[in-house]
Order: sequence, then C-alpha cells, then structure tokens
Amino acid sequence: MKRRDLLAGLASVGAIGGAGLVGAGTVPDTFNTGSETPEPVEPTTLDTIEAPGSRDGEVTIPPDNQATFVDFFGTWCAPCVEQMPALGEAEDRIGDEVLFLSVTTEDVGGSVSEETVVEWWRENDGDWLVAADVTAELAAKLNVGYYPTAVALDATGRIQWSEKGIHTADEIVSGIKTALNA
Amino acid sequence: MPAFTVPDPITGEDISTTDFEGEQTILWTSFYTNCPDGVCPALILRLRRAQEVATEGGYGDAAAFLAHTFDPERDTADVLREYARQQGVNLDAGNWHFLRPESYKAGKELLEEQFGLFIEKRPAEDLENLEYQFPHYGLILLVNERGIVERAYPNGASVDVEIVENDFEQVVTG
Repeated sequence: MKRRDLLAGLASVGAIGGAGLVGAGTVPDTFNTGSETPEPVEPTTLDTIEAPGSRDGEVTIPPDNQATFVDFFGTWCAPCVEQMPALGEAEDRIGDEVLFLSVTTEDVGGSVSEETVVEWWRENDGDWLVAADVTAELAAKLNVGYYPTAVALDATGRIQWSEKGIHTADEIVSGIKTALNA
Repeated sequence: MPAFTVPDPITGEDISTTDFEGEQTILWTSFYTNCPDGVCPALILRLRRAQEVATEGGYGDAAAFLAHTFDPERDTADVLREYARQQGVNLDAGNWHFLRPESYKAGKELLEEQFGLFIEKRPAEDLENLEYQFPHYGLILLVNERGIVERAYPNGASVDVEIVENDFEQVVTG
C-alpha cells in the first residue's frame, strides 16, 4: 500500500490545468482493474515493405471487420530475432484467420534503409506481411512498452491481447484466438 | 527540475537545465543503450513520439528532449548517434540532447543527489528514499518552461504514449 501511495503521489505532482487530466494513465494498475470495454483503436495506415511473404504497398491497422495480429520489432533488437521462429509457426497455424503482420518502429527509408529491414527479414526467415511505422504512430496507439510486443485486436479494432516479451507459438495462437472469439 | 550541467557528446555542447527556462518545455528520461530488457527503447519511444508530435504541431522549437545516460563509459557519442538512428530519434530537429555525464561516478552522484533532492521535496519522504533506487530507472519527467516539474511518470516505459504526447502538448502550448 505504501508503495502505491508513493507512486500515486509522484504521479500527481503535476499542476496541469484540466482537472479531468490529472492522474490519467498514471493510476496504479490495481486501481484500473475493472469492466471498462476498450475503445476501438483509431486506424493508422503504414507502408508495407517488399520482402519475402510481404509486398510493397500500404496496410491500414486495424482494418475494417478483420481481426489483426501485430508483432512490434526492430532490426536492432536481439530478442526480436529469437521471436521469429515462433511467429513463423503461429503464422502457419492461424495466419489465414487474421491480418498477421510484423511492424518495425524504425524510420525505414530515413535513418534506416529499407534494405536493412529486408535483409534482416530474410536472415530470420520472415514470410508474412511486414510494415514500417516510421513515426511510431501505431506503436503509440497500441502503447508499445517493450520489444518485441505482441498485440491482437478483434474485428472491431479493440485490443484483446497485448503482451511484451518473447512468446511461444502456442501463446501467440492463443492470443489471436482471444481476439477472434471476442 | 534540478539545476545541473552535463555534456551532450554529439553536439559537443554543455547542456544546463537552466538554459531552457523561459524558452522550452522539457521531457527528460534516464536510460542506457545496453538496457537488456527493452524498457529503455520504450522510454525513448515516448520521447520520440512527443518529438514527432511537436514537429507536426509546429512547436518543436519550444521543446527539449533530454535523454540522460547513466552508463557514460559505454554510451559514447558514436554509440548514442547509432542508438538515435536505430530508435528513430530526429537529431536534426535540434531539440534532442543526449546527456552524458563525465564519468559513471559523476553521473551516479548527479542522479542520486540532484534527483534525490527533487524527490525529497515530495510528501512522505521516508518512503521515497527506499523506493527511489529503482523508479528513476523508468522515470520520465515533464518540466515546464519555468523549470517546474509538471508531471512525473514513474512507470515511464508503460505509461500511455498518447498521454505523454497530450500532456506535453498541453504544457508547451498552454
């Protein structure tokens, strides 16, 4: 309890005007448990990358009336390499039922070349859609707090499963099923 | 916000927190590039997004993003430049500064003493001394142009990115 008090105390130092804003998002998690239905995520359109299993074009996330699975990665991220085989297996098992993609938050085409991503993708046997979130706008909307992060959204665009770290194929499939069954 | 001066190894400037008073709103965090668990990229992501939103909103000149390493021995100018590239930080915007204390010891003392002083001003200070060993690790501070800490996000790696963006925008433009 003391720890919570401290965190709440720190979080409320601010003197930002609107009373409604104070504490928003910094409320300790234990106070947030409850029945709130998540809001649908506002759609973001990203450029996709021409790479094995992927194509040059665009993708909008979340799409209309389709569940989505997003893996957030970076080519700089060692655990993201470790995550790839399980992603491949999950994609084989359930990729047809959702929009299944990996998204890098690197500034692809800017500070990081597209070739860097394509090369990483090939080396790690990527074989599904891969897109670039060059301003991290989607990562912000899906609140990425770690790499890799896995997020499954239901067909209405609501987040149903989001977990940081490396997952097994079973965990990914189960997360996707949570979104499909929501 | 504590007053202190730390070099930015990329621009070669000495950065003093007081330089920003009356001019810029600051978003500050501490991190290190060898952060093993993905938390530091999440902290940097939140500053990067606020930087992006500031640029889009046309108030980038009224903003300063300070990413303070506590591992100066490994986080050299080259390492930090490469890290910025990986993490999508816009160094060209001129409002992003990596802060690199002269030595590990100096940096450690600065964080303990300066930021220790900072939290001692909070109520229930007996507890904070115990707790502050780790919270600074994932801490993001939002400091207004008068140098006053408007908001502290002790869970900075997981706080909603959009809350940080919106709070920052409100303080800069407010």
